Amino acid sequence: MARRLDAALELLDRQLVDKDGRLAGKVDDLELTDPGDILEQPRVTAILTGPDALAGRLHTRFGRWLQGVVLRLLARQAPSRVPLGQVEAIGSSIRLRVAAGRLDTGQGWTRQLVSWLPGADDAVTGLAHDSGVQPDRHQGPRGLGTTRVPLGDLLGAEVVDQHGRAVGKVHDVRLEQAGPELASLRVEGLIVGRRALGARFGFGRGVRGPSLLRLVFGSLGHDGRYVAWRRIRSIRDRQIRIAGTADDLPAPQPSGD
Amino acid sequence: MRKLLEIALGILTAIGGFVDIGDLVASTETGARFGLGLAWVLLVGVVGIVIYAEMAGRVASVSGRAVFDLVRERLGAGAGLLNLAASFFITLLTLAAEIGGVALSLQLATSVNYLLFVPVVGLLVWLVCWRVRFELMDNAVGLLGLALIVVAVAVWRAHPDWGAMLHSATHPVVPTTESHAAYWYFAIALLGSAMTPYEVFFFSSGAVEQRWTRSDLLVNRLNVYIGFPLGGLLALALMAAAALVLEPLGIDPSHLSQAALPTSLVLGRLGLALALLGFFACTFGASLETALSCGYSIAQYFGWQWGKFVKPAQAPRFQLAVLVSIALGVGLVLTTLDPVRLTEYAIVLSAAALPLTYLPLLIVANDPAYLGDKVNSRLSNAIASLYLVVLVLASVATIPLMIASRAGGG
Repeated sequence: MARRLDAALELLDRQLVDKDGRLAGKVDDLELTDPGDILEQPRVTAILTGPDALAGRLHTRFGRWLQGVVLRLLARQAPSRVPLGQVEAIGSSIRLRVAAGRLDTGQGWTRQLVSWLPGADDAVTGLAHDSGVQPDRHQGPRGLGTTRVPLGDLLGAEVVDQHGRAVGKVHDVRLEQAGPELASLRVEGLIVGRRALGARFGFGRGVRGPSLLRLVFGSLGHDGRYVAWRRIRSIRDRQIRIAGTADDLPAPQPSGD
Repeated sequence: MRKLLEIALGILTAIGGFVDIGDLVASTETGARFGLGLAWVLLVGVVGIVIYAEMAGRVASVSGRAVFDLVRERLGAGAGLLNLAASFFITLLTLAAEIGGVALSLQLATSVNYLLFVPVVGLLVWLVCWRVRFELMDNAVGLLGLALIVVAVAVWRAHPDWGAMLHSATHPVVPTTESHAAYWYFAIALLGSAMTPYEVFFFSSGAVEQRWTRSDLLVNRLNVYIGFPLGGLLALALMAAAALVLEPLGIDPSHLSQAALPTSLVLGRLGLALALLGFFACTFGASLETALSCGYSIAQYFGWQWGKFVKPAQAPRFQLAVLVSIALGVGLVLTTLDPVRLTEYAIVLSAAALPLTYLPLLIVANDPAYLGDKVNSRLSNAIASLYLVVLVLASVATIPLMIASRAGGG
């Protein structure tokens, strides 16, 4: 029994909570492992967290500037990864199997600064520096043609049909959990449309809301179409070309179990 | 019995903690310039904050998450970041204004120039945020703030013509010395002083700090439904005192001492002392709230561990955010910008930014994924939606009115 998740609606920007209940950042992006063959569905392999992951999702000049500044400030090459194997459950927040200290979320220098102040009472040991478990960044299985891309690169991308006509922008990425393990999460398709405001606020999903807001955002709301992954012909420079035309795209089914 | 004491403490703290430098300045100034002609705005503002604060407390109690925590989930990363930038900037301005207010209260008490107090106040605010337990901090400043009741007593003892006062409050008239633009500008300022954005962040984060759950919903409602309106009465007392004493004399209060003038005239030295104690407690308490709110909003957007309920070393980024915010606030006041002017800008910009805060809150309060069966009733939705419309209108009108009335001067 497959479980369907909409990445932007149900996974991104959610709170990460470690096994002790400590807050460990937000899901700033998701790492997709591209199998290299466009017809094969990419797998979700890790949660990306940290200011560099976040800045990468803001596809604006401000976001790119932020990314440059942040990277220089924090002297890092890549966002912090939480492999999906360390995720316990996905709910209104994402619960992890590990303690926050074992994640390389770069709080090291702030923790050292704060612990100089009297009364910081740092009873937690071994966290004041970045040694400890270092999850790998761009290592791991390097199969032929496997590259890792952030899911944020798909969001907001232009979708055009086979004749080059615009279909809309990618509002969300539909994920499917094929087996019992979360690690089997893979991209099933894209939700594409022209306007997305209402969907984000939850008006399609159970928020009956104040009638006024439902009127304003619901009607302006979502005109989404569903593009199954196998219909994609090419992805280049944030433009996605699909087979067929906009007219034969179905409406998206609701997510859930 | 213990529960009753707890409820009483909560209500008293809510009353004493309601007024801040924004209310002090706005109520006194509008009372002096427009008499009781803007009293209706206070009523509107108090009802508004009661509705939204109850929502914020309910969201925090039932979902265990604070409001700003959920803003990013609901608005997305980009819109959430814009919201954060605006909210943080305004809360920082308010923090600076509150620190200025504390320093001014100390100046009134000691005749030492307020600028000398500013770094001391900043340090004190930080120390309390760093070391003092949340409940103790909240209750202490709230109870001390009750000293402001002396202003209401002063109004009572001045034996005003109650009938005339009621008439001027219910039949607002723009005085001939003032322009209509200035009247509406101050209406917005007064609204912003009553419905401060940081109050929502602080109230919901505080509920999480104190580990409120569903069983605390009743206490939450009592605090808000009884405590806040009574606190609003204190603001009304300030306005009435200014209307009785300052307006006939044509005094335009540009200095905090004039807010204490009516009380000292009616009740003498004791009245003045209590009023100053009240000013100090209110502004100090609000400094703590705004400093923590700065930290809360940043930490909650990025998902960092936040809160005074964990050891500082376990929430280092949050603590640093609070520290840096206080430092920035102190720096802003030390530029010798007039604290009263600073307060006016803070409350007017707060009013303009209110929809940013209240729209996500209203949406979240209707989401069964967070609140289960405790989502808004149709009635509260209706009133809250009406308020949202009013707030959007006020927000849009702020800048034009600011220009038309020359920031209240003309």
